[in-house]
Amino acid sequence: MIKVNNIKKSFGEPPIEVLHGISFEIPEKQFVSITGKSGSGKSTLLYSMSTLDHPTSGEVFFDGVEIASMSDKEVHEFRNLKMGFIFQFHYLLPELSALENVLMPARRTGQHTVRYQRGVELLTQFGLSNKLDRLPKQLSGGEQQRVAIARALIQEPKYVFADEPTGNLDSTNGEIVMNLLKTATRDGNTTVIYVTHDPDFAALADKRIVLKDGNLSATEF
Amino acid sequence: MLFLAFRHIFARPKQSLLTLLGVALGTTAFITFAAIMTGFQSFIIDQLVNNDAYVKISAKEKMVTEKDLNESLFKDKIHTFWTTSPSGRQESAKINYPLGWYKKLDNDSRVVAYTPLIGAMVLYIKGGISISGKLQGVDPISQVKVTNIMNYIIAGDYQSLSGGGNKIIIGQGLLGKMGAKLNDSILISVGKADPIPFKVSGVFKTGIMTLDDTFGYAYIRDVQRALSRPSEITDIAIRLTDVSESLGFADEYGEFTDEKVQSWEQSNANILSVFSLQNFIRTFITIAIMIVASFGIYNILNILVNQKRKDIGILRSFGYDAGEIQNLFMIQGLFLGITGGIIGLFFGFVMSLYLSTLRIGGMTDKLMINFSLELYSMGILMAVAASVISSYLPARAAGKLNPIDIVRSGE
Repeated sequence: MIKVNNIKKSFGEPPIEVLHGISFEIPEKQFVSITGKSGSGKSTLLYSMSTLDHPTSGEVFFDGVEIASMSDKEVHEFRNLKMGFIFQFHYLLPELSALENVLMPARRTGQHTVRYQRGVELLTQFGLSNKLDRLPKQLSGGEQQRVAIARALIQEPKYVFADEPTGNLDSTNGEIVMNLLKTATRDGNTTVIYVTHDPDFAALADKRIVLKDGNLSATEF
Repeated sequence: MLFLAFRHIFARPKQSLLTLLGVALGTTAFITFAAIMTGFQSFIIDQLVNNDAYVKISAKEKMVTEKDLNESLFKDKIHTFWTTSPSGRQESAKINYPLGWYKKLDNDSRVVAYTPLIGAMVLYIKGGISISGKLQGVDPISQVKVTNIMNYIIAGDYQSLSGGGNKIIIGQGLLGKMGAKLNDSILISVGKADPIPFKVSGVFKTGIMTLDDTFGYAYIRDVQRALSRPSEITDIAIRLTDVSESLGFADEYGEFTDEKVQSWEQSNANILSVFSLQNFIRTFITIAIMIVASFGIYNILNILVNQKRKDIGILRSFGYDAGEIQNLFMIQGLFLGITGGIIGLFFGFVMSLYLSTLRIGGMTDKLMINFSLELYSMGILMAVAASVISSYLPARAAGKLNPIDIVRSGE
């Protein structure tokens, strides 16, 4: 469960406030969209609640633990074991094959041999069974993003954050990606929070967070 | 991070190889330079130490003063007045009480052996040719315990000197200059009397020109007689158990005597100061080479860190921390540095082997090459140090990159 309590975020000097105090709760196993117009603070909200960025004020709790109270080491462990990230760009490591990329988070704790089978299964499930050993540059954009999703899911994370995961894809590939994420929520014990500006993809969500000019304009279930 | 570091290295083989070569070249140059220079130096030092003596007690040339003359000429007078004060120098210097020294040296456990010497400047004459040089009166039996002169006899027999009979062992260069050969008779003039004939009973060649071109050794009593200085000696050469004790030993003995006690370092201070200049230049060149090699590593890593911003961002997002990112780049720098260093050691060794077979003529005929473990440890140490220093800054910069800045910028 994620609890966001009155978070504000400012940038620059003099500070310009982008988020004006946002609060909401997300229960377990949800498929959550964050929508809003360009510049409404969607991505800022996503990163501020995901530990990658720090809110200027306010608290974020994961399962009752406040992020700010965790040590640097604990934050990194938490990210490694409990979180997955998907970005608009795939950010695959160009030197590694698809499967090696997928296993990279597990490699940090030496779990890549244990997770190997899961890596293969995920890629197979994503329709890449014959491309396990391809380098990223030998894959299409849609395939690259699927590998990135498999990488985000390899540790069976409790939370997945996705920043416009379909932003760089055509509609067919976008749909494939969204379906994969939706399936992950349904089949795994995972909450997916994604930013999108596509109303069709936003409609897939169990819960929708809509931002307007840095304020929460609606939460819909 | 080892896994990814090696992937990075092998993903751009050309760059890595070039960096590697930079370090390897630096290390090779260091090993080769140092091997030649230190090899030569230790050869020369060895010669200096072993051909002369670890420590030498020498007679001091004394000035003649009023007091000396009063004591010897007018001992019975109470007051002596001079219209012109006497001045001058004693004709020849000698060690005043050799027996006292012998006794002291016999009782010193640090002393391996000692030998009395008498030295004089003489003219070597053969036919119409006369060449100035130095004649040293030696006791062949104790002399060989103090110096290595035996090793340099190339004709005749050193021990033929003992027993007297005006025989001489002479430097190869000097013999050549006179146009003489083994078993010839040559004349030696000490200045005051008629030249005395000596028979060449041996030839030595040390490789040091100042010795080979000017020195002759004869039996000590023959030389004393030739100089009309019976039983006088001018030096005592001493060999110690440990060469590194020489300086301390000389200082200790020098304290309670008028006579000059010098260790080999003191009597060869000019040569040693050339060596320290050589070493300074070598260090300087080596540092310059290593700086260039370091810049190679530094540049490559800096570029790599910039190219890899996205990778760093994504690695951070799934939990790799700043230290792990720093390691990723440190490992690469260190790997290139250490591998380059090892390759450099190998090529340095090959170069040294090759150089040691070259015949260059001159005093040593072949280059003296240092193959000591110390030199090679020093070489690898330098390569490692250079790579640590040059990897650290880019690696730390990589660790400090903020993941959010990278993923937000969406490059």
